Amino acid sequence: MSIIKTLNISKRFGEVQAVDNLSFEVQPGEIFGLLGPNGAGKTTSIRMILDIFKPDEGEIRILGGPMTDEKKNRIGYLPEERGLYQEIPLERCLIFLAALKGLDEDLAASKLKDYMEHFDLYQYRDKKVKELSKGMQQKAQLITTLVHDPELIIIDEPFTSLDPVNTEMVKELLQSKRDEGKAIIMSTHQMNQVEELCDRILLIDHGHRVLYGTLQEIQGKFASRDILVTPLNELPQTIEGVQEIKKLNGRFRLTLEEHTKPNLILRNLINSGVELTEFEVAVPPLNEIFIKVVKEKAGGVND
Amino acid sequence: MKKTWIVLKTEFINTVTRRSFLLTLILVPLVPALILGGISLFGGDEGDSSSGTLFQPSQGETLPDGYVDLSGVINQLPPGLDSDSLVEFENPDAARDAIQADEIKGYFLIEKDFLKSGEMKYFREDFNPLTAMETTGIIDAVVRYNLLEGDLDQLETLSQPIEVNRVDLAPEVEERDNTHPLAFYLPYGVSMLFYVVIMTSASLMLGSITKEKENRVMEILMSSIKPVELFTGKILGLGLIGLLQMVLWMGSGMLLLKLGGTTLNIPPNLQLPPQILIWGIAFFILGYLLYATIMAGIGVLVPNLKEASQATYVVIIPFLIPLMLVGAIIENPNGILSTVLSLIPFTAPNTIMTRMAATTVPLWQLLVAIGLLIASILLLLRGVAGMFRAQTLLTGSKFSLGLFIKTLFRPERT
Repeated sequence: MSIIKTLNISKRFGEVQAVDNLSFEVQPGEIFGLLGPNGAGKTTSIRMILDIFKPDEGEIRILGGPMTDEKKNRIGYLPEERGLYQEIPLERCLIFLAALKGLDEDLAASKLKDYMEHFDLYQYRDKKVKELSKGMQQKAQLITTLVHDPELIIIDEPFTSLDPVNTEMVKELLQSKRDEGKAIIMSTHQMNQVEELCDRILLIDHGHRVLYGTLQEIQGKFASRDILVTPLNELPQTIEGVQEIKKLNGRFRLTLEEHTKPNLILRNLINSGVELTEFEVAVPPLNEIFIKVVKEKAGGVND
Repeated sequence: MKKTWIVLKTEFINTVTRRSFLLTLILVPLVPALILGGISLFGGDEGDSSSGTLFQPSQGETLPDGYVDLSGVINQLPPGLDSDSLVEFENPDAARDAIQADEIKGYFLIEKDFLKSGEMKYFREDFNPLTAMETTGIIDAVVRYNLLEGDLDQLETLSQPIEVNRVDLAPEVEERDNTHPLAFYLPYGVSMLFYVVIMTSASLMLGSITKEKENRVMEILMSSIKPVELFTGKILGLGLIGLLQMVLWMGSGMLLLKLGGTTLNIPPNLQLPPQILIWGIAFFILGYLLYATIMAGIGVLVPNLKEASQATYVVIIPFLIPLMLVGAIIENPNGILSTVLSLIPFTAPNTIMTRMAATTVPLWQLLVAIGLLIASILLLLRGVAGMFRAQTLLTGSKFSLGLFIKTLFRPERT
């Protein structure tokens, strides 16, 4: 059963069509990347999923049906526009937000203790939120998203303000939540994080679905006929089946002739006596795909 | 319902644990109490609130006053005032000697032409403003007693200022003594108190919403709680704080008046009637609900507290009207102006409480005012609850009264 299923949802604000006929599904046990340039309609889509906004058209099924108050307690949300009550102690702030997610205050306090210890915040629990650093506040916000053990986690730019150590900790936490069977929607512009974490992605632009599928499918669709090799000795001037050889930093990019399989090139290189430390079928980075698709679409729109 | 309670509780705790709030809560009644205590301690005048008695010398004074009557007006001292309380001297020199000898604290010199000029002088070594007036009152009464040839009844009548009591035919009202300075300051104080308490509580509402916008907590809240639950929790929680503040301030005000009645000789008919606290609670709740709802509406519309503060000026003008016209209201508490202001919901809470501190307000006016207030609150609540939607809460624009009214009656669909 899908955790989220949107069917042709649309939302308009005045003259702006924020989301247009968008359909996608999110499954349990996956990290789903919701990508798109600024103003693409990501936040509006998320807000419609959360029932903060009602769609003008279309239908949203969440956790098996329409949104209810009870279901809101089964969702953890870290919005892009996020913050905490600045003037009150950290622990009181977190208990309040956890209680609004249906947690009994005593249970919330005990769960929060574990989370605060995990995130190295426990010693700051009596400090006012405004006295904490940006990174600490970011960790506290992550805690409010996760403390009630939600089945659906929606996080927008989760790594902002985090140092590499905490970034790694959050990544591990998200992966462990996925392994527990939770569905995670992650919206970010950090494509390396998407490549590392996401199982499937949805790229939207101007409210439309542009790319949708597993990371491998999408990268495969945009794969070029290039192979990256790092030889220990000289490469031959010409290699059968290779159309062009380009030198990069210590590596070579081989552009294959049409219909040539990478296996053939590997065999030819070995037969030519080349010793290799690297042989890689060049997969276009998601960043490139993102830029390419968005630029093409913008060109289309401008045309 | 549970989430409304959580919001209510949190708003209450967050506000009452704020140091600035606690200081205000305690200092407001503490300062007048300390002043009163100071007067009691250093003024050395423990007067008796029942000392309306004409000739009663001030108790606690160790020395009496004296007098030198050059005009021959005083032939006898009234009954109840013996010659030890007001000592006669033949001439000023003898009186001065008595002061030097600490036998009297001062003396009145009644000039020869007193009957023509009406003037007399009072001599004493030091001046104590707190007792001087009372001393003058004694000699004044003694002289009047003699002028009236010992007719105590006439003296009693004459000693009261001539009072024209305007009697309204319809309501049975009781006017209070309006010659006493407190006849003005007491209703004025109640008016100020009401203004401060209602505005403070209603402004807490505005601050609470705009802070959530500024702190960017609003979107997390919107994903956890219905806007109307959030609104209800806030309005009830902050209302309780206002109520606590009002009961504490008004209660301690009444207590101070009671204690002050002894210390400052406040006449009993200027004490606040106990039922004013009950009406005060009712009108506070209604006034608070009215203005807090408006403030909530402003909070929803504007993006930050700065923008909200400017908007507040527009909204509080009607609330300020009774304060600006307080003189006229107190002077004629059952006049047309007072009655009209009592029936307009925006000015009613303050006007009615000011009037109640000055006179007895006819019951029908209280009931009509309450009815109109409830109707206005229901109308506004409906409009503002409609404004309390995610889309408006997550955005913000420059405030204008036009936009406010438009949004109030035509909330956008989210």
